[in-house]
Amino acid sequence: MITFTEPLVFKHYAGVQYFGDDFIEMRAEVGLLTRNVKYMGDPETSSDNQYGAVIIMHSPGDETTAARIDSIELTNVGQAFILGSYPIHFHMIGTVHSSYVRNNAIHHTFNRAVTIHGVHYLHVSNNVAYHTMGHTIFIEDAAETKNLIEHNLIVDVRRSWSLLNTDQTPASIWITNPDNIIRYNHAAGSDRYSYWYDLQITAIGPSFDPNICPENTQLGEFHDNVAHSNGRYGLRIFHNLLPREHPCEPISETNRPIIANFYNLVSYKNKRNGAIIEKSGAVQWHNFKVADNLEHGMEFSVTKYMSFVEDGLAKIVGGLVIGRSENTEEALDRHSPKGVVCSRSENFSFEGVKFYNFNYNHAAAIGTCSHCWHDNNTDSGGRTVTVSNLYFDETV
Amino acid sequence: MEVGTEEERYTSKLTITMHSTKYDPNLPIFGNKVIGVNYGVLEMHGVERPITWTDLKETAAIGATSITLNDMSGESLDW
Repeated sequence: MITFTEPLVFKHYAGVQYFGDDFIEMRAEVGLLTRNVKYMGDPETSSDNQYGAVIIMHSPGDETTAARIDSIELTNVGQAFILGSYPIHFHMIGTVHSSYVRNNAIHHTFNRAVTIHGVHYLHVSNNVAYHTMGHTIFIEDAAETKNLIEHNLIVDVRRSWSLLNTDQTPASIWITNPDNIIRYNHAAGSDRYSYWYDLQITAIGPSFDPNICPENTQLGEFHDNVAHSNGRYGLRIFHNLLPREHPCEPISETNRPIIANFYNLVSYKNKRNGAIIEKSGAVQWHNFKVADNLEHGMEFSVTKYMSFVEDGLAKIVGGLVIGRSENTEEALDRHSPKGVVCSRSENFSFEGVKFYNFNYNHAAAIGTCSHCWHDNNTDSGGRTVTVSNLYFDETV
Repeated sequence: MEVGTEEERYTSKLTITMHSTKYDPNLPIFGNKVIGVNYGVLEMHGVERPITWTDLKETAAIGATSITLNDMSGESLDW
C-alpha cells in the first residue's frame, strides 16, 4: 500500500476482463523513481535551459569502453538542441558485451533516456523512464544489432522540437534495425507511439553502409510488450518490413523471404490504432490483444506476396479484438473504429481472431482498403482477403 | 570511474550534481556537464531494488489517497 498526501486527480484502471475463455489484462503501471545514488544536472539552471547532465561512452573499437550502470537515479539529464547529448549514450563503440543499463530510474529529461548508437549486444533492462523528450530508448543508425531491450517501463514521452525531425512524433522505443530484441516492456502515454519500427533503407549517419539493408533484415524478437494510452499508435511499423535471407538482394529462389513473427502485443486506448504496418512482406502478428483504440485495432496497409516461402502471406493469427471494454473513455463515443482493417492490396489474411463489442456508432469488426479514404488515394478498394475460423460475439 | 561494484554496491546516499551551460568550454563528442568515458570502464551500482516497476492490484479512483500494488507473483507490494 502506498499513500499520498494529495489525492489522485485521475482514475487509474486495473483489471482483467474476460471475453469468452480469453481475457485482456490492463493495469496502470507504477514505477519507482528514486534511488540512493543520484546523478543530476543542477536544479538552478538545468530545467530553465533544458540543459542537464549526460553520460557518454565512446571509443572506436569492439569492447574498448564499458559501462555498467545499475540501480541509480538520473534526473535533470539530457541537453536539448545538442544532438548526441543524451542521459546515457553509448556512441560508436562496436560490441559491448560487458555493458548494461539496468534497474535505473531516468526521469525529467530534455533529450531521450538511453541511446544505442553504433553498438551491439547492449542490455537495457528493468529501467523506468518517465517524462522524457524525444525517442526515449533510441537505436540510432540502423546498423545496431543484437541489443536487448527488456522489461522497461516508459511513461510520458513528449515531443521534442530541438532534436531530429522524427522526434516531433516520438516513440518510447525507436527501432531502426529489426535485428534487436524487444520484449516484456510496457510503454504508455507517449505523445505519438510506444514502439516504432522506423526501418531504414540503409544504415545511416556515421554508420552509413549501403550493404546494410534494415528494412529487409530478419526480425530479432518482439514479444510480450504492452502499449497503451498513446497519442497515435501502440505499435507502428513504417515504412517497410520485407525480411529475406540476403537483405540487400531482390527476392529469388536462392534469396527466400523470412517470416517476421510478432507475438502477444497488448495495445489499448490509443488515439489511433493498437497496431499498424505500412508495407509488409511475410509479417505475421500472433495473439495480439487490442481494445478501446479510437481509430482501429489492427491495420495492414499494403501487403506484398512473398513467393518462395510457404505460408508467405502477411497475416494476423489468433488474437482478441475488443471494440469497447469497461476501461473505455468518453472519447470512444465520438469514434467508430474498425477491429481489423485490411490492406489496399491482395495477399492479406487473418485467422482465429475473436471480435467483441462493436455495437456503437458505426463501429465494425472488419474494415477494408486501408487509407483509401485519403485524398491522394485513387484506389477503389476491391481486394481479396482470406479469413478463416473467426469468432464474432452477438454485437458484431 | 567507480561508484560501487557489482559485488560491493554503493549503499550510502550519494548525489552527483553537474554544473555548466552550453556556452562553457566543451570537449569534442563529449561536450560538457558530462561523465565521458573514453577507453575506460564506468561502474555505477546503487542499492538494488528487486522490483523497479509494477502495476496496480486494483483500480484507483479519482480522489483516492492510496493505491495497492502488484508484485511479480501477484502479492501485494509495499515499497
